Amino acid sequence: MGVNGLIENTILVRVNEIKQITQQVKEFSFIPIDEFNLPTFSGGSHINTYVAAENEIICRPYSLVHHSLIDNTYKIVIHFSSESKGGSKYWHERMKVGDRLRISYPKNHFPLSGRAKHHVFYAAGIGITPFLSMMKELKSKNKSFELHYTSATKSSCAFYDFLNEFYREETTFYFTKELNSSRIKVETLLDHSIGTHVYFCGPNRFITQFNESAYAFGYPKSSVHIEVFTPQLLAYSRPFEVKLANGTTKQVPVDKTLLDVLLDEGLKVPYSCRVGRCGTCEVNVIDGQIEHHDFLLDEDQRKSNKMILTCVSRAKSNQIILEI
Amino acid sequence: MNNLIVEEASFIDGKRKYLICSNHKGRQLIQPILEKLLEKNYSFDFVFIGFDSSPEQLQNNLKTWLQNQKMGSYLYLALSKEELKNLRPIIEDVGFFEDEVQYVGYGEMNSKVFCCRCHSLTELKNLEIGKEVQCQNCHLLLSVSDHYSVHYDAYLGNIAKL
Repeated sequence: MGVNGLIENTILVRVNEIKQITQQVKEFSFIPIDEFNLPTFSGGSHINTYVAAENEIICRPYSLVHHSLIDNTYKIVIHFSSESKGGSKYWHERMKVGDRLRISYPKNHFPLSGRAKHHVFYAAGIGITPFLSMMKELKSKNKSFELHYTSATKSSCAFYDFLNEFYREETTFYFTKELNSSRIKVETLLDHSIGTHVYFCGPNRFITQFNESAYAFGYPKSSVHIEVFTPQLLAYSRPFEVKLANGTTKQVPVDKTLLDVLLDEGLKVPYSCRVGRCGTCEVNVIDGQIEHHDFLLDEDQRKSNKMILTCVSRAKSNQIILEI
Repeated sequence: MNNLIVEEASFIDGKRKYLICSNHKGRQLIQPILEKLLEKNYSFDFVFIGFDSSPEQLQNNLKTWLQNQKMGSYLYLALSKEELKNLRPIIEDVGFFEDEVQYVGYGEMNSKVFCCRCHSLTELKNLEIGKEVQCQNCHLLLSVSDHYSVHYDAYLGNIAKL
């Protein structure tokens, strides 16, 4: 347990610069409060940010887009979401230069493959962010890569000028609301030579479409990488009951995850990514049928019906009994 | 490498294209896969290696052929175990890894056991996990574990008797 009751160790930082990148996108720079060197990180890493709002601590993961060893800063980029439950709304409307917050140490659930012969990034909208550090890393190592990036218009396309300046050869843009612009298509996946690894980041719908197409085209799982920052929305979610080892029962309503309910109950259950990627929140299941929505467990583990990733998965049966 | 070579090929469905490479003897091992592909009317390339191919020719031709393939392809290589062992670095250098290739082999293969005491390598034919072998350097009796090192291309040998 970290300081201030947070589940992980954190670094106290101050916002030292805010830049408007596009109408909907802002870039935030942090420097540490104490004399402390911010750790370096690998391409694709992110941090959890902990912002103290009135009655709650808003925790959100954001990709690290930049790290400067010279002025000891980190940068993140945030897209304002009209559906924001507090995260991007707070950052865009209330965060000011000089404000303090806590951030986690960098973590990477979306690393570059070490054995790819060629890397291909597919980004939609703000999904560009993890690829900025990944491309920088690959460029510095003289590795082969390309970027396919779709956005509504040039003016809403974050880092359009930057990419044109530094990654012109590697980048193909697709604008959905510009005349004479081609559209990004899953069929592009058919063009990649053997040894290619593909990476998808963007809205869930975009990721699902490309992910499913890659498998349909015969890509092995190990060559396909996805970055998800928000849990998949489940239109068909239903409530269920969770029974704990001490006999307590709790309801899990449709708008809450099993993890939320366990945390509300005061249980010190570990978790990290909250999107079914890292496995930190895995809990053993004693009884009940599981509806898996994670990206981690393999077919055999799912069929065993013995474990659940509480951050995204739910119960198929009316009740599930957990070993906690 | 032993853990990657199978003697019976298994059919992997759902690939956009299948690539098959065998010699005369390997052809028998791969026959069930060919029949399956024909039955399902799946797209495949078949490369047959004749008796007159030198190892260098085979490696160069195979590399050229595989480098031109696209993602979603699945490779079956049906050759002697020794040939498969020698070809594996080339196959991986092109970009085919465990879940995109099946090594189907026949015959014997030399394997190595890494001695936990003196760190030397002992070669033996037809390695079996759990089998006891004597280290050729320090003569310690080793039990062959299933812990395989890609770096040494060898299995770890633990002390068999305390």
